[in-house]
Amino acid sequence: MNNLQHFWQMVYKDIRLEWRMKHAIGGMLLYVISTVFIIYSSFIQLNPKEWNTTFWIVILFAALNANAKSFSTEPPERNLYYYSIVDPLSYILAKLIYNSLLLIILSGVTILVYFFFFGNPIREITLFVTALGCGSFGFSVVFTFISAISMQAKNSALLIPVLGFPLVLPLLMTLIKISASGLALLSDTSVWQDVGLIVAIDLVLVSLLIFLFPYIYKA
Amino acid sequence: MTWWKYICIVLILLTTAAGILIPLKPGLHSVSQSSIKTGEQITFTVQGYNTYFEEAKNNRAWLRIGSDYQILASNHTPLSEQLLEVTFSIPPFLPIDKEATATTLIVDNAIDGAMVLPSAVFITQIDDWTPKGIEWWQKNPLENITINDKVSFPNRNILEETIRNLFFHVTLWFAMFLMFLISAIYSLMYLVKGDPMYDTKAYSITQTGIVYGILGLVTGAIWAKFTWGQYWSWDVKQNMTAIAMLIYFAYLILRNSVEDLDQKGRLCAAYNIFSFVAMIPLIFVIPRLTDSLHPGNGGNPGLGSEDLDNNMRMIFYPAIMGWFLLGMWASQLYRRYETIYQKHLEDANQM
Amino acid sequence: MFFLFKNKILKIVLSIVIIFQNNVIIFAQNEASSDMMRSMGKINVVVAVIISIFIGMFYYLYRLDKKLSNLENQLKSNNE
Repeated sequence: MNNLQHFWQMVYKDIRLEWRMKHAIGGMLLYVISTVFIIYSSFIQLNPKEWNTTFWIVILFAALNANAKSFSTEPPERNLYYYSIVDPLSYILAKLIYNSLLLIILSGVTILVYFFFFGNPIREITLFVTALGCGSFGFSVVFTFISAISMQAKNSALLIPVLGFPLVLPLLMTLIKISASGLALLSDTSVWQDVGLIVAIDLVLVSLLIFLFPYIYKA
Repeated sequence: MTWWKYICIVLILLTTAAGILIPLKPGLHSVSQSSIKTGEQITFTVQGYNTYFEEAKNNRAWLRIGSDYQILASNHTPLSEQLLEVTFSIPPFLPIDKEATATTLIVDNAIDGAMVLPSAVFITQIDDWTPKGIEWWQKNPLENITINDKVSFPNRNILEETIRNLFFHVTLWFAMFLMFLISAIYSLMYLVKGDPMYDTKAYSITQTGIVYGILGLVTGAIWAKFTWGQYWSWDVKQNMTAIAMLIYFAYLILRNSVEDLDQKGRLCAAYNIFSFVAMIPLIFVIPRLTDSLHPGNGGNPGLGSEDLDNNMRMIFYPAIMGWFLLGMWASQLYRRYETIYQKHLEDANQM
Repeated sequence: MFFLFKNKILKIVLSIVIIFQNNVIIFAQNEASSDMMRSMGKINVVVAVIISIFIGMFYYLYRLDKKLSNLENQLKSNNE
């Protein structure tokens, strides 16, 4: 019971912290809007294929921006303090839940901005939203793990994309394929099998994150 | 403990020798004429590969439509061991009601056995079709076919001799994957038990695995150049393995950017396990969901379960074992170097 | 590989690669190389593959040898 309380307190703490630092959340929104604006001014009109690809790239970098800093916003001593009062499971789960919530909200914003600028080419909304949800969650898992690792290494800002991008690439490629069938770019009867694959990867990665985190954080 | 090194040497020597020396099954390469009309008397040459047309003498050739209809060639003259001149008198009607159809060429002789070239010749129907054609095409059924039971590798159309790359290119991938697996297991053992030896083992095995991965990409690219036309064809498997290599390069970079030994071990072990799991869908699941140019995938001639014949299997699995053991040997050398090096560093620090 | 960048060997390897590629380009112009590779059931592709594996393994050995010599030198200078 105690752990559960700790967990919610940590999530609540992160949200409050984010809310207090309005420039951070504003910066992320600004990132999304300005990227989309750059895409708009260079493409003017997007056919569904370009829509799909650029959309996922924006999401990828949003994930990088939003989640990479998850362990570095607060000073390391304070992280250590949290670690000593709550158990690692609820600590990492709180980070993960908070990160994925943030990213899901950001991808919601991105998709609205995309609708506003480029229109809505989505044919199968359930499929697309499922892909978006699972994908954002998977990105959050990977980047939370990577930011936990790179926080302890030197020049962590450089390390995060280097370590993270190869890891999310298989996820990203499968997601682009799924959402391509959501946009009716290709007809694939076994697309839900791919969704199942994504869910399976997500679950495995989450369990690995939970298992490995105590070892990363031992110091 | 060196017995496994002797096994490694024996396995690699044997499988490489067998992989190079065992000949390809005799097969048909091409025919000089690709489309003919009904009612014609036609003579063309058949290009064989590893065949003995002159020595065998009792050559017979059929053109076959479907699995029921065929005609026998009226004349067979071997021009050389690899070239056979055959004459067919095509009946005035096809056995099926179609304007044109592809026929399969079958050549049989006592030495080479039966050889098949699918879609060898197209026959165009000139007059309106009548069922009389069926009789013409059933006069000479396939009889007394010789079975070639010499030890040989399958002769596939596009692969030809490069089917041998199964023992040199594909085995590298399997060995690489096995080594990454063992490296991940050692990383896990390091996290659980905390002995730095496990971390060094994991690191050296990963390094050799990367060497194997690069060799796999290079050998694949050489093969691709002369099969698909360019070194890099953006094939799914190529992309995926390139990403896998990126993941392990990232592992090396991470290793170089942490200084504290204990911390380095823990971070790298965690990343190694995580990335190995992220790599599984990459190499084994995603390439199966999408079409690939690789042999054995979607309509390519190649090495599906029924294509990988028993002769190849008998060499393929020992070859994987041999290359895997060679990799382990190399990483053991590296690990021993690394252990001494770290001890030397410690001594230097103490002084 | 990351360790490549620290090494002088990289230069040598690169120059070999460049020379090799130039040769390939020259060959490709008269298509002699292509024909050679595609003749006889593409057996030369298999030969090239085996040779590149050997080169790779020998490079690995060479690099390990270099590292060991460095270590030996260091140990020797420490003892003196």
